[in-house]
Amino acid sequence: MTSEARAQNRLPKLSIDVGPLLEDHWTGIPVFTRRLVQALLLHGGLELQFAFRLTQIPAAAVLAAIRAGNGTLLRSEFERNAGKRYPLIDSSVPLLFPSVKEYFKVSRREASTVHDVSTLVMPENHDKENVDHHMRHLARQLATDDLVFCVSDATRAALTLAYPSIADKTRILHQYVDWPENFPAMERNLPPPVLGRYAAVIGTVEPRKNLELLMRALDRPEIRDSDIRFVVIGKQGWNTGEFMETLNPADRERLLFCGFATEFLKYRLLRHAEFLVFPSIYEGFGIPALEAMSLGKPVLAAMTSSFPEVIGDAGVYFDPLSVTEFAAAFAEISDPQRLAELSPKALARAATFTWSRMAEPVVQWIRGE
Amino acid sequence: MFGPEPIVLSLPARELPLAAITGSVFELDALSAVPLPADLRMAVELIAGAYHGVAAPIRCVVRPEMFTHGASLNWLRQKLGDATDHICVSDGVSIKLIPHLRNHLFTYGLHAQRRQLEFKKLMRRAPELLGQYDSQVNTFHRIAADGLAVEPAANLAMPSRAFAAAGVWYYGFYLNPHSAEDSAERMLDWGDLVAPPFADFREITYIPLTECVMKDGGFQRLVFETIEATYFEPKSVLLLRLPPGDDLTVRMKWVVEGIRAVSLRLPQARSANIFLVGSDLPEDLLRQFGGRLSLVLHQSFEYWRYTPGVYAQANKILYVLDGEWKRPTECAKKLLREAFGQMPRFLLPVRPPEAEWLTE
Repeated sequence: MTSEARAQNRLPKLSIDVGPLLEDHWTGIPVFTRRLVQALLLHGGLELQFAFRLTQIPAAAVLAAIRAGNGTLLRSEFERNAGKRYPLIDSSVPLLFPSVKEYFKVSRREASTVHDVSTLVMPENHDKENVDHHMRHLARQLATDDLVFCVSDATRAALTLAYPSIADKTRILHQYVDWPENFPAMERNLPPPVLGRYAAVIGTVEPRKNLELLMRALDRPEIRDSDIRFVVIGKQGWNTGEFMETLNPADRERLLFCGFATEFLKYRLLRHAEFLVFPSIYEGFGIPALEAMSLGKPVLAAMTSSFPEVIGDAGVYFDPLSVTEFAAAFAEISDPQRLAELSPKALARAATFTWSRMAEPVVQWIRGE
Repeated sequence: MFGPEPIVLSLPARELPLAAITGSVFELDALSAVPLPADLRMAVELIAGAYHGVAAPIRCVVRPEMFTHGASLNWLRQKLGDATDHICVSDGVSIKLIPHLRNHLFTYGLHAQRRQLEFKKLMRRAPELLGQYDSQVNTFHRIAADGLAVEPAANLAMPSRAFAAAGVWYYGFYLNPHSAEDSAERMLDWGDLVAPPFADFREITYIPLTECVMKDGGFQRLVFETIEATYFEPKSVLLLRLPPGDDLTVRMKWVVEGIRAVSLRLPQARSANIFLVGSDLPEDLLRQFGGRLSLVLHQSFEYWRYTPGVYAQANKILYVLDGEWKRPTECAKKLLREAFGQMPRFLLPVRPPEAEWLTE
């Protein structure tokens, strides 16, 4: 055994439930899980094991899925090998759930991750299955956790407001942005999109994303008289058709729905946008804001939940229920001089969210620090 | 209950047409121009009437949960000024806390079964929430958490004047044991805006029904027995207020099906002294009645829909518990005695074993 291998053997172990990585398309929680795994691998302070349904998955299979960027193969391998070649997890190894915890008191030390509590505080904006999925066992999840990771201070504040008894065992687990290295080169080889001046808008047409506010604001002079269009990035949600029918032809021209966007298309659209519009009434973290900021784009953001924490001084804020405030904030941020002021702040702010910032709280937990 | 500082009402966003409000925080007066569901309107009027002048002005906030901490919470604080108390006006689906204020809970509309279920589910799933309220207004919600009963102190807010009453429809009672549809159709056909000749009766029994009570086996039985007895007491009149709801036929069917669920028979004849009524009986009508007045109130009925004067006039008030607790708590007794001006008689009806009406 080499000295490096011996050193490796002395590293504390951590088992991560990589269930989210078995999904076909990675957005949201699967991307968070991937970033967490990669951050911990880069840190190198832990020996990682991977699990799904309390069954170990070989690291090679997980790393192959991360290289591929989707979970299709990983899932089929799991289904083929579970019960045959894949053993049970080692219950002496601490177990971390990057999202909802589905097993309780299996390991001597367990931690889970709470992304947001919108299913608790605004259940009317979710379907029943989603509410039940997040809420059915939350109290038990929190009670049996050694530590509860929250993806933002906002989530921690909201969670501990509802469950004050867990306040002492919460820690923040901030995400980071990691665009693929080849995106800038790919982008340089393409002509800019022919869209004129535009703002990127993140979000599907569903109540929590609050695109209705933008729609209602279209006839405000600050927006109506502006040359900026809106390009909406994201799956078409609940009522997109109905939503569009309510618009007059001129306003329809101003709004462009690009539907589900690949990572590269999203990168490209953000790269060429003037700024990002993020009108959500509630977010656990709001990774699209950080993605835009990492490309030097400020954010026109709702004054809500995690946005001030993530965006800081790289954004202009508005009351998410006020058309008047939205229009005024739009006028401010669309001024080229203001944009020029905010752009470096966006870059600087985004640079503070790093893989080491994400890895450290987990490593500290395992080391008992 | 409150000092001279302004109070804040948080309102359930899903009940508000957001296009009609100007922002997350606005003055109470602005609500007068906003179309609201009747239950919410009544709730807001009650709170505004009870505390206006005591703690003025009243501001409203929608979705206070957006302002979690740091800059957003500071932003809310600035908008709320020197407010010290927050009354969460909740439809039961979610309840809100504002971190830097004293929080008070006021629930309305829990007479609807779905909301009642949602509220109980919320209490199970977030058992620490209720304990963080400094008080509750007009309710005596109580949960068990970690083996201890959690029951915020109860405060009473009663209307000083009657809520506006619309014309009341009276439907002579008829039950076809084989068909809820036929029963409902016939009663609807007999609907009349003219009140029965109350002066002819010596006793009036008024039971405001709710969707919840008509799915509660024990209460169904109580209503059934009261109907049965009234058929043969021509000097008594029984008024059953239909459960609140949008569709009259559906509301009528809730009642008929609830009564049919008691597998005993009633006369299949149109009653001359039993009536379903379409809305809350107007206070002046109850006040004018010269005979004995009996009120049978289920726990899911919002007793604050009437002024204390109505209760003061009642010769008998029977208060039926929903079975969550085996006996009334001291908090409930104190609150209701204050509301009614007399101690009601409490009843926990025997419920058939299948009456698991409040389980998921």
